[in-house]
Amino acid sequence: MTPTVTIDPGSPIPPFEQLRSQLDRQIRSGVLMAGRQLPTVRQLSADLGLAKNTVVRAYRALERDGLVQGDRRRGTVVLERKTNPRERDKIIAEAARRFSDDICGVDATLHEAITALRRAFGDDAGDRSTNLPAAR
Amino acid sequence: MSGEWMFLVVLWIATAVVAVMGVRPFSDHQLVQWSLRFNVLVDASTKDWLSSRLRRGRAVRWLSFAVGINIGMLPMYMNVIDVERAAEYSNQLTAQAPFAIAAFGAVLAELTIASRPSGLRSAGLVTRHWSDYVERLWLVVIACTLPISLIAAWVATERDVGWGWVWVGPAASAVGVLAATVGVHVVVNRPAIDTDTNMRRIDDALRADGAHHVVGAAVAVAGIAACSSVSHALAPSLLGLIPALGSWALIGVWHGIACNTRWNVDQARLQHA
Repeated sequence: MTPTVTIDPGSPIPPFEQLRSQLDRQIRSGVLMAGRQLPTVRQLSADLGLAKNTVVRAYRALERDGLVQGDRRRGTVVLERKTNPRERDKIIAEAARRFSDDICGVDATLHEAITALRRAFGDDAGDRSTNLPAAR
Repeated sequence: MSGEWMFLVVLWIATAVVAVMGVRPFSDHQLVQWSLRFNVLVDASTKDWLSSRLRRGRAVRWLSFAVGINIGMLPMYMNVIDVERAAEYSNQLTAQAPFAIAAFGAVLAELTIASRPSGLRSAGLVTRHWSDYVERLWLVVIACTLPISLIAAWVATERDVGWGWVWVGPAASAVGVLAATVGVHVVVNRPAIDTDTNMRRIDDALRADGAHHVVGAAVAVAGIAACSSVSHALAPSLLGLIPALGSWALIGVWHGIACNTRWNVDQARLQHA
């Protein structure tokens, strides 16, 4: 399955941010693996009907976050991520706490929360959702 | 009816045949052949749309060629209008015109079928390279014709073979190089149709088809120009006949690249990865 990005022109989120966040998520989740070449600015701007500057801005933002590297010969390439395991655990714990707070605010059960999480995880990362424990 | 008019009638019939062949509907058999050439699945949901798109591209290419034939046959028109000036129009410029205009038509066909995305816009994150759509060798061949034509034109000038149109060869080769460059660039960078797996493969197949038509026509115009330049540089030696015969072979090569080459984009992508 080819990874894709989708831009909704009717969304209040600017196209630049839509593109950046989708690429960011796909790189962090491992859908776009290290060493993978991203499409050229010209190709992506033509396919998405965006201005070239919008794509350049998104790529530059990802470059600033240390996720990709622009190379004159190879184009824009996904970088290998060297995450500190302790830092990674901290990020996961913080995200889980935030999620838990939000879920408690609408009186959702743990089962509903896990189902929603599975769905969200599965939608973005395909078969990675199978690593989650079954909801009880 | 005089002989000159007879020639013109034959030319008009030939033009009409070329034009009708270009605009006629794309038959089911042709669509099956096309899908086999590019290894794609054409189902009922894409059949009509694909037929119409392929037909549009073919119509532009064939109509351009029909116009080119008529410009190439300008000396025949002049025979009817002003027979004394007909010889002025029988030159390398008019001889190269059908091929140059055919190459222009192939590029134009790729430009006219591009459509900008609307509504929700999706893009696959696979980088497209020109070598995914056409054999690298042909672009090398096209690039090589330019220095060959230039050297041959220079030799012809040095030997003063008395040929007034000596620089038309290099110019036509340059047209071939330009057509291939612009055409392949358009093919690679035009917006994708859809990101759905089968549509992505059809999109790739359409790009490969377009690239083969552009490159085939560019090989013809650039190669024939180089052959003609070499032939004149070697004149009056009989060796000059060999490149002159090569021109005819190049028309066959053009047809082979544009209409018969089988191409699998996914396989090419894997090989070039």
